Amino acid sequence: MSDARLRRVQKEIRDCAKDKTSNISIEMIDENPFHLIGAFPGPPDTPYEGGYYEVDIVIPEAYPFQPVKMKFITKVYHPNVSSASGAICLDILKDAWSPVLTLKSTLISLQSLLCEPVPNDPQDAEVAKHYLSDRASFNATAKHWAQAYAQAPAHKQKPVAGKVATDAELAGLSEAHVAAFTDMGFPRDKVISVLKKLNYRGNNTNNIHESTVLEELFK
Amino acid sequence: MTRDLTDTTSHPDPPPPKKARTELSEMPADSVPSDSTGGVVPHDVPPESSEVRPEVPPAGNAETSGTAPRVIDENTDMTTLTDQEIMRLMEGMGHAQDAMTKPLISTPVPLKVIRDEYERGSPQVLKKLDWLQEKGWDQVWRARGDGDCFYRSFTLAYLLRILHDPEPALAANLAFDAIQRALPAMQQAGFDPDLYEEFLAPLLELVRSFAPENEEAEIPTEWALVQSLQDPERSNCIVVALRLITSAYIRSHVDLFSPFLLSPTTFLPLTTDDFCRQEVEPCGKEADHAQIMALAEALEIGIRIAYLDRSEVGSGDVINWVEFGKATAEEDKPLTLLYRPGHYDVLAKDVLPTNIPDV
Repeated sequence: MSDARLRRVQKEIRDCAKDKTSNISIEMIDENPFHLIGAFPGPPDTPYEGGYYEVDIVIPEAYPFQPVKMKFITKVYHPNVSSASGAICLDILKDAWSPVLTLKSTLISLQSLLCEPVPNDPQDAEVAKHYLSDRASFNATAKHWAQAYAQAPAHKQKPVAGKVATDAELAGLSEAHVAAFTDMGFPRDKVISVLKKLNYRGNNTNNIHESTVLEELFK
Repeated sequence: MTRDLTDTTSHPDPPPPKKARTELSEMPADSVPSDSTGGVVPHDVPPESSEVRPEVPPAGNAETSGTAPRVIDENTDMTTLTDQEIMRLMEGMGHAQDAMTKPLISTPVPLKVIRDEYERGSPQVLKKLDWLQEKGWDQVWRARGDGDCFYRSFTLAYLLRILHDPEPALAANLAFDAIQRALPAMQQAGFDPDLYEEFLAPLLELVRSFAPENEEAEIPTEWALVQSLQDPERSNCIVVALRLITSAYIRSHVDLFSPFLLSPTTFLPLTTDDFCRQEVEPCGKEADHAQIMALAEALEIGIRIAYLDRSEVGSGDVINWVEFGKATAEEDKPLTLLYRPGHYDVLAKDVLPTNIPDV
């Protein structure tokens, strides 16, 4: 079985290298054809535009009869990608995988997943809540992540001294909301993690009583 | 039996209920659909299905409760299941794991082996099994219960049909041509010829082996066929090739199929592309009428399926034969399969191949 698997993967890597139009790259890690790094640019007209996204690819023993394993190496703020681990929730990486799909076509599907999130089947529930409750704030956060982690150019942004985005911005929170609780003496990282979990953003803040936040902060 | 390919550890949420429902609905009440022993079944061993057949508690089971659990089958409304019932069904699923260690396809077992599994089951099913036996359908070539069983059964029946033809070389050439005629649709469907030709190669090689260029060469025996199809790489390639032929046929006959393309879990209509992408092309997705009809039409072969369900049986043909494709009359030698809820096997009569001279 491994001969056919090796032949197929090598051909896929070759074909992808030949194709200059797709902007998808697939490289071997340490000359190992079964552990690869795929990469593609963030799609235009999305918060990911200008970023460059790397994906860890593991070819399973039974490939192509079993799906490739893929996860983002580059941090991505997206409902279907775990912001902590890079794990991806996409049907073709699971039970809709078909042996006619290739590494390139799968990476292209990841690229389109960045264009069209599926918040109803999230990988990262907190990010999905953010996406569903306040799109503008979600887009801003996703853009901050693209600049901070995916080398997206920070043009048209107010220059922020020292770094591209603040920790509050990376969590999609307003500085005023964070400050309201840090001023009470709570540690900043704790405040950010609690507000993120409660989706303390935009209009949603009206639904969350201050006592709920305090209760979480005292845990 | 949906093959579990997902890396469940990477998903923080519990699997969506869709999947659980699929497996529940595929769980027949009166039989473990998979090869329970992969061929030779010792008759004194109680059927494994007793776990999912709660009306017959195993001997010595300290079940003291006076109320017998109800029978859960394909007609049971899933929303009425109690937690205990769901748990019992889930335990039964443990056997699905076994399925993955059984041969992909096995040499034939007598129909009696299947009958023994139903010994204490539905009288309608037993009546149908007895009828099949009476009519000479006394052999079953079992396929592994991994969701690809229709395609694997199809392959074996397709090749046995060539082997048992009075003129195997002619039958092989006709089959080879029929497969070639199905190829343009594959390319139209957008499949990469480099990819599908690789999947198709093992099937074409087996078909061609019945019409060897060197006339001295021996054609495969039943045993050699089964061995070839037990090889996972070749068998899986053929499954994929047949899935792509099926998908290409559905995609090129949208008007014919679109009214019947429903999600097997939600029963909601799917677009042709979604149906093919989700229910035809991935391995491990069971074939239903649309897929079977498409494959029969694409390869110009008749298929008839004996439905071993619990429906009431009338006079005349006791079995419900469901037929696909144009040539399903006895003289056309259609592929004959046995269907039990959620599973397909090959059904055969134990006849001497006509191309072997009497000794």
